[in-house]
Amino acid sequence: MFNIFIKDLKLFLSDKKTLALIILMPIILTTILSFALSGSFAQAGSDFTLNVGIVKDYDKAGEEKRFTDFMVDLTENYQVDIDEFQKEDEFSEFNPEKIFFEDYLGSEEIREILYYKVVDREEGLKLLENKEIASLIIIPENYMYDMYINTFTNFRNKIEIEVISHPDMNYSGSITKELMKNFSDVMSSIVISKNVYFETASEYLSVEKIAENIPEILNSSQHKGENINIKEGTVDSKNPISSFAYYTVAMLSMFILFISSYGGKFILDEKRNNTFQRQIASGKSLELILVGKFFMMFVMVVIQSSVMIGFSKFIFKTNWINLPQVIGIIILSSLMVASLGLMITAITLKTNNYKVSDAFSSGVVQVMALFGGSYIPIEVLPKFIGEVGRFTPNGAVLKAYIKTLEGYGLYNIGDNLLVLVGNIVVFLIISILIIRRKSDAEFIKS
Amino acid sequence: MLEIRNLKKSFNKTKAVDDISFEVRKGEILGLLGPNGAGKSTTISMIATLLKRDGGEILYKGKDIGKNPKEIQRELGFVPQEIALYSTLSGYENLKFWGKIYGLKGDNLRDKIKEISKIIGIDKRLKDKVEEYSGGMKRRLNIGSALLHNPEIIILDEPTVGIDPQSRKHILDSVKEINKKGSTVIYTSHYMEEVEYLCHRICIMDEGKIIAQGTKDELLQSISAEEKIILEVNNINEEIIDNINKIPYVKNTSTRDNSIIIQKKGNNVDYSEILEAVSNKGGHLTSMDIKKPDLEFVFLALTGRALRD
Repeated sequence: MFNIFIKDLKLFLSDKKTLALIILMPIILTTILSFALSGSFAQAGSDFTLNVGIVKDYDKAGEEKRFTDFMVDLTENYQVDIDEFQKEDEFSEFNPEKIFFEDYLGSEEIREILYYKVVDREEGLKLLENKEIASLIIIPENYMYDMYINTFTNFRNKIEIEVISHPDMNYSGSITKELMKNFSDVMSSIVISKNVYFETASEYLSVEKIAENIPEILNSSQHKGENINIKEGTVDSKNPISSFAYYTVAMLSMFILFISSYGGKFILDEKRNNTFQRQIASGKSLELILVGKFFMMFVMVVIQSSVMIGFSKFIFKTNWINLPQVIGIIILSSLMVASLGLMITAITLKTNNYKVSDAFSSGVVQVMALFGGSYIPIEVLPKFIGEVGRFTPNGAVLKAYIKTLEGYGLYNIGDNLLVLVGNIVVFLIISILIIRRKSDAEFIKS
Repeated sequence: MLEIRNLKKSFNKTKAVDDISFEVRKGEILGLLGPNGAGKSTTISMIATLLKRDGGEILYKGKDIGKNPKEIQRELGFVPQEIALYSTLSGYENLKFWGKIYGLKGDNLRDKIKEISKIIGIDKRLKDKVEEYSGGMKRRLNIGSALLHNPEIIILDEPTVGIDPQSRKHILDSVKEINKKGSTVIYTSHYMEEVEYLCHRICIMDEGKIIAQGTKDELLQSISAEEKIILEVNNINEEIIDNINKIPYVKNTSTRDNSIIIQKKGNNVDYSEILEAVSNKGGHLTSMDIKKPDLEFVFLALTGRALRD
């Protein structure tokens, strides 16, 4: 078997065209894509920073006055002592602008990654166009008024914070949207708490009593506000992923799949030039020949992965952080490709033509690459693609590498490794079923 | 050594091998002669355990190879009709691979590669890639790859197809040398002259059947083949033919265009009598050719077709 494996490896390595496709091509593509789309990612070797512009479309003073007028009107109708309310400074303490700019954007966690600049709409759009900022956050007209209304009354006014991102900086744009969503979720929880209080208390208390307790609710809400962070977001506690690191693993997870089509191609070549028959006539079994192909594909993926990872480490200065974990992923992904290749080899042998391996390398790999996130991060693709992509072998490889680069340990990539193991088992079972259904001699008949 | 009994193989409804029986004796070169599609390659594919038979038996040293394929596989050198080599590897790498396939290793393997590469005449080009070899060199390497393990029995399937006369001669001489060293050879070909030159015994195949087998002499005797005299004559007429037929050693005559084909009997031939028989009746003899009987005659006599039809 070792002899057959060595021969297959020599054949692979002697084919310069194939080597160029599986070693040089991903390196070239990684380099091009990394430079072209570097704006969408964090810079390697530096802290991840997100530059955004913020447009205040609201009129702070005007909207505060408008709300005070509204409350005065409310006092007259319901005899609520608004002066007392203001005296306790609760009203002035609840400042939506302060909550957004100081409590949320000014929190330690956010401040580490997000730099903002207050701009007018025109200037913001210009900065966005020049890629000086990744996103433009537009806080709408009536923001202050609506926030007061939502907080101090039983009414609900809809507030829509708009995020405009540069198309070349989708990844950063996604993070900005995620941050705004996080803020929105926290504010909604405040409003919901207040509304529940209003609705429940109004059955038992007078309007004055209800108003007296509002500051307490706001305090607790503001306490919640102090806890605003992005722990559940996409950037918390992670090492930044540069475009070089991302596209290294994206191209790697795609190009390893190409190797799986070579087992089928090789065995049909051997069948056509009779070297396959010659091996069978010498007493070597079909299974032995296939195992040789399996290990040839395994070793080629190991070589391909090592070259790519080495290239990114020494040329792009990518920090792979956990080398044993990276080696583990290389071995498991190589086994996955070899198993897939074995299945394709068995089908190719059964159908006796190159169509299966050709269709795989020219079609299936591309679809899997898209669903697995090799072209574009699945976070910015429709949700169903991401869901499907999770179960694609290349998607699992990509995720496992990305999480490793982000600093996650073995436990956190467990689900991705499980997907890989599942794929390996399925591919091997299908291969064995196909091979067992045919005898050596029938495989030989052309 | 090898006994084939009532062997059968069909592909769909076509009988590729139709109930054939023959034996291969130790130390001989057995030729399987027949036109393309006669069933030669199918027969040897079954002997080489590459195809399952539909019926019959193949016994190697008394054991059925269907049940014990390893018995023959480890002692067989199989040279397929096509160039079964890895063209992007060097000649040395190819020989090394096939040697290892048959279990050779270390010094033994190196020595055998050296020895065989000399026999097949590629020892000076061993480091070159096979794709850089001439057609003849590829053919020779194709044969050499099956010889490394000193096989007891060697099957060569039309090994000289598509090569120049010099390489062909080299291959035929190599086969003779291999046989002299003790290997038994099964040699298939549709070149009558190759089989005549090499083989101790011959099986003539046509349409899946063996239509005759034996030594060359036995085959010729089986159809009472004699020498033929072929005359090229201008203005052939009935009188010339009658005159020739009157000569005592002439068995019969036939004509085709400007040729008169004389089938003779016995060995006492006076060619001047033929010259007189033609010139006396106004014929003008332009050439005379004496054609010894060969396997082509046998095939023609048995099937009514030429071997290369």
